[in-house]
Amino acid sequence: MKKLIYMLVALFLLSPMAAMAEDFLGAPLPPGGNVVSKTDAKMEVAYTMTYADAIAFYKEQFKGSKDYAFRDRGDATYIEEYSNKPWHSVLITKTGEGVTITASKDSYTWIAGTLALRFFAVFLVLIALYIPLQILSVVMGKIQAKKAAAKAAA
Amino acid sequence: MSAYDVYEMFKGTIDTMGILSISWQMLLMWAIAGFFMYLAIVKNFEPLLLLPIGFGIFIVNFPMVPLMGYTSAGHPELIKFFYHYGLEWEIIPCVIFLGLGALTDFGPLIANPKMLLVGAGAQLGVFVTFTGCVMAGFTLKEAASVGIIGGADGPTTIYLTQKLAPELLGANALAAYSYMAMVPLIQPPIMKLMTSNAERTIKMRQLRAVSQTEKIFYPLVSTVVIILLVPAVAPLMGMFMLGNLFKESGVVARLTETSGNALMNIVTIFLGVSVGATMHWSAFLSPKPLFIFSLGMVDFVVCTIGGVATVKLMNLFLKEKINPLIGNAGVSAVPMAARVSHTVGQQYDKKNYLLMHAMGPNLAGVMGSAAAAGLFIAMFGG
Repeated sequence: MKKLIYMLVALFLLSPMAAMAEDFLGAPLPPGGNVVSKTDAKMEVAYTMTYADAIAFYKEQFKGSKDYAFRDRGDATYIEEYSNKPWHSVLITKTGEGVTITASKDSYTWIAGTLALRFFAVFLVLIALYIPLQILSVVMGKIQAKKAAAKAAA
Repeated sequence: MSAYDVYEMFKGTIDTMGILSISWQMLLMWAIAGFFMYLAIVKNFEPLLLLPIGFGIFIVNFPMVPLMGYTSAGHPELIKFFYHYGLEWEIIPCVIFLGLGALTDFGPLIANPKMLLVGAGAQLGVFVTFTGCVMAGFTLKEAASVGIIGGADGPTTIYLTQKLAPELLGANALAAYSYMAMVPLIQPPIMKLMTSNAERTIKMRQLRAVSQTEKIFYPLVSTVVIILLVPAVAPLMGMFMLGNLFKESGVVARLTETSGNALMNIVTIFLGVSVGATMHWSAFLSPKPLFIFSLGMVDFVVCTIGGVATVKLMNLFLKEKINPLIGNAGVSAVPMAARVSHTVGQQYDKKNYLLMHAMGPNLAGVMGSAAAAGLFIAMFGG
């Protein structure tokens, strides 16, 4: 009987481990969460902790390192990792009951995609400069043409 | 005084000498420094930078030299002082840009503003090299600092590297200035490979005259547009446009003269020596700097391809075709890349004068590489 009780107590104490978050490719995750979904590329865990506590957890985890960037997105915080770890980002999203933390794997698709976007952005910046220059060019061309015509008439 | 005291005196004296602490790594760095000084003095490859950089490498690779550390009183030693206040504080690249602005005539770009697209296209190598670096195991910040080498803009390379990956400053700066000097060797084969005879002999209409009013408005308009879109690059672009406004206003000749000459020469000395002095053998003799050198070449090649390809793409939509030989000038080694366009063009038609046409994309490349650097800074932060 005693053995049965001990076994039941042990099972009861060990059961939270099934609900506890696992490490995702080395990305730190707070303990005590419930895994919502998990694939090779992403793992989503729900927590009852507050949004502020979740942020504080990660600020403590990454204290002193320059390889992380925290980006505030209103109801979410996106943490990007810039060294060569297997994971790339952690997204902390506010939910009704607490927060959801999504850890994502590093991927060349993200890298290539974001670079393509930025290469395109260089074009946009220079096109934005091109437009006023072109307008200035047209206006000055007309002024010069008028002056030349006035000179010719005189 | 006993014999032992005399022995101790001699031993003490000899212990303060560096000659007994010299290592093969230092000798190797002397050879590397000598190579860059040779390129500067004998081959005239970017001597204004390669000579002080080469000497900086040389002088810091001696034993026990009080140059890049701190004194017992906690003050920075000589070159550490230049490095800390000039580079760590990111002052020198911005002051160099002030001087460059005071020396630059944006007329060819103002006369033909669609060359801005060529300057953008020539940044292709920056992003391709970034991807290659990441695949090779560099961190994202390191990859960004290596990628910008292809922008062929020394101050921008130094500014971005100091912000994102200061440990790579020496290797990146050396790669950037070395390859800039080798633009006349790297670019022509690519230009010839990518263009047909018919394209190489395209004659472009003479550029229209640009009024002084336009040249005064240009730095103001550029400042507004670029800094609103890429605020991170405000220190570089702001100083660049200030220098240019000095020049074009015509009312501050003393400031223009100082910015473009004395001031720029002073900071160039401090920049070169400081950058060179970061290359102590313990930091330089590792696979990464060597890999950076080989990637730098790839970077320049792909940037050249990007520039020429952009012109060819534009020609599909333009009635008045652009000679694709000026596409290489989007790599902002000013004015060397533009001279390369002209020289290669002359090989096919002696009456085809491409130099001023090529200055447009050359100057656009400066804007493009600054925009690319600003986007990397916005992405990875400081």
